[in-house]
Amino acid sequence: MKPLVLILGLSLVPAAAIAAEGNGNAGWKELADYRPEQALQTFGRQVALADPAINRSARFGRAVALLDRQPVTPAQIEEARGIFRELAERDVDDVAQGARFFLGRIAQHHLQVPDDEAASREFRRLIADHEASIWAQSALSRLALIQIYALNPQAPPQERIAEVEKLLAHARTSSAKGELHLVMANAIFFYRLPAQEALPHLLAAEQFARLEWSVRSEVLVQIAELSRSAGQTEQAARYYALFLKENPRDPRAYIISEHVAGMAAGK
Amino acid sequence: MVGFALMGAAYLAATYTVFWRTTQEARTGRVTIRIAQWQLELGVRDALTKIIERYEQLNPHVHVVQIAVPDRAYLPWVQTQMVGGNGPDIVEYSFPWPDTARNFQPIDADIREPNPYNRGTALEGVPWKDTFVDGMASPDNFVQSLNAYYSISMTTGVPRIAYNRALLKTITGSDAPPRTYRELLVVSDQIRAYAKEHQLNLVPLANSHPTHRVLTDGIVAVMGFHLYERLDLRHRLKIDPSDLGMSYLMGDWSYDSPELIAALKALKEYSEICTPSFLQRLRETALIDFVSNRAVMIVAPAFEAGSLRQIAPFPLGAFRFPFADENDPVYGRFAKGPVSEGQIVTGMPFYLNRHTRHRAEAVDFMRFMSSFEGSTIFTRLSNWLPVVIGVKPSEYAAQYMPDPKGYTWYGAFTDPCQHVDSREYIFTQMSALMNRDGSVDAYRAILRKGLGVRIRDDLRREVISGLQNLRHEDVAATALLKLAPNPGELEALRLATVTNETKIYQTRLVVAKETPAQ
Repeated sequence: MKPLVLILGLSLVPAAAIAAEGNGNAGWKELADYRPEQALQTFGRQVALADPAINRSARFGRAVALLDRQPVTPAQIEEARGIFRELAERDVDDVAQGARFFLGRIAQHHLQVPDDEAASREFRRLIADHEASIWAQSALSRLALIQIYALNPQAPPQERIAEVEKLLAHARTSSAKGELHLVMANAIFFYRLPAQEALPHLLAAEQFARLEWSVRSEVLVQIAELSRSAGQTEQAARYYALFLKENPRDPRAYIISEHVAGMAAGK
Repeated sequence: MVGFALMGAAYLAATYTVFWRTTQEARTGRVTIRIAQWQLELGVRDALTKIIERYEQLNPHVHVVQIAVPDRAYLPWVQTQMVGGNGPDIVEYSFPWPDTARNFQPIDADIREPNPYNRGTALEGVPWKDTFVDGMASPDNFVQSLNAYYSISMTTGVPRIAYNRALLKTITGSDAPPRTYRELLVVSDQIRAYAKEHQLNLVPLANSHPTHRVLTDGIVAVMGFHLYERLDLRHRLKIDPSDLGMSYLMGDWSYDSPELIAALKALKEYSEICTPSFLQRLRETALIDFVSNRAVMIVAPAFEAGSLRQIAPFPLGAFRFPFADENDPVYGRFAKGPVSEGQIVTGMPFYLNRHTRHRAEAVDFMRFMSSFEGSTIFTRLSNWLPVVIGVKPSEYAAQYMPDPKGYTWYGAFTDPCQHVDSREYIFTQMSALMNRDGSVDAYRAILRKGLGVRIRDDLRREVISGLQNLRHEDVAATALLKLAPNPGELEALRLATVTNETKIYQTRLVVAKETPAQ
């Protein structure tokens, strides 16, 4: 009896798969599971469907999957870029915005030699056309990285950071604001500008962004340490305490307790 | 003809076995999950077997199969299984190994829930994550490059110096271990004098190629305290390995820095109390030296604790290596104590196969393994340290409990970048320091010439792997957005963090720049 059940069950699988593909999620599930090869096949089947919405979304999915199919070749990156370009130019919907984001992303990180000018151009256009979209808001901090580290390397770092500060005007979400502040703080440390200049950015990042646990713990220590050196002992104590509360087992607790004691003793 | 018959029989037997195994679940109604690991040390397999027995008692519908594979064959074996789609449900793995995201799935949602197997203990109702002594902060549990929790650990530990109590008492008149660095040197002198007087093949400290590193890192770190402070330009009270690699290329430090010259002198002294030629010796050889009374002490990592206890025919003691501190008459101006044994880095991490057909059962077993009861069974039988809060280690294993109190800066000068080229160069060239005719100056000259290029290669590798991860995450983030029930409520794509992406840009700039430290 059981083998019969198994056979019947197996025969139902393709039907179930086709049904799942119908809502367009199957390929995305495969991509979320890091299975681009299977996703390509799934999106490939959906591309053949007549429904224009499904077709467009499937082409977008297919291009995204191409970016991750191993081994990644320059030819398939170019194929993906061609699809994204067509999708981005033909419409203004979510697919078009996503396609524009990936045009920037390909130029930034998927080519063998990055094309920073092109990446910057695509991100800027995305932000100008669809500022409030999740794609544009995610692109802001990535554009900031290009501006600080890749474009115009002859300009003094302070100028590049000041340019990035202007991007804050386009940040609609707290995540985007927080990320931009984090980018600027990290650049101040990297270029060895006066470290105190990083403090307001770190405070803003902590306030705005939903930082990942590992990033947040570093930001809390940085705020406390910079506040202590600036003589802002109340603020330092507050952030040390917050850090210790959130990271009670962090090995920095020992040295932090020394710093707290030093502040209390007026050192 | 006989050959064909044998082949046919073998084919039939194989077919039957495959059929029998693949239909086992349907026949018995039990779910079978497989767990793979490479710890063949005495007691560890038995501990896992006992945990499985207890788990099956509590969950009769689940059958757990332990697969123990020798460490040298382990990684290729896992990769082959994973590529073939036959990977075990739960796999001991490690975050620097390849394809973590492809092979394994995050357990973020699971670890926020309490572990049901902790009911009736002090950990009842506590989120699973917070039942571990380090809150799952170890790099194997929280994989920083992927921003997700991937595994649970079973143990932790730090190196200790194990010693033969009886022999130490015979030689020095006391079986109490040395308490300071100077006392260690005095005891070592006494041992050498005793050996000479009695014409014995006896040295103070048995050591080997794999075990010496655990103390080498510590000795250098202790001397480097003030150098770390100067290098903490990001004000984090912490220096990542790649920070050290980048600051080396930027000319901020080298092995000519006064702190590290002192560290090399201390390493030379350390090498002089060890078994001659220990840099070429295997771990097993050091164990044989020790149990055969050819050494009074041995460098013993925590994973050796259980085995040592079973094979040593004499009473054992264990103590923490007495690093020099600020009171040391020679090194006091560099060293600063107390020395923390660092972030509690947990080990023996188990990852969940991304493609397991039995996720619920596999996660449930992982919960039991790392519950109060599971961890108690583990430490009792393996003599390895537990990582679950409140679980008491065995009396012997307790001597290996890390002491986190004190200073630590995380990154090691002996492992700038945490990649293979620079680390291996530093350690393989160490013979120029530690051999009988070696010297601090000779070793410094070698490092000056060859370390920069290795660090540069390692950092290039870091950029490449960072970019690969970032590209994977671009794709996965888009998929997660498309699958989100309410995408309009999301603020941002879940890309690799902007901090990780920043690191790629900064590293690329440092690697590309001609710097004093080539």
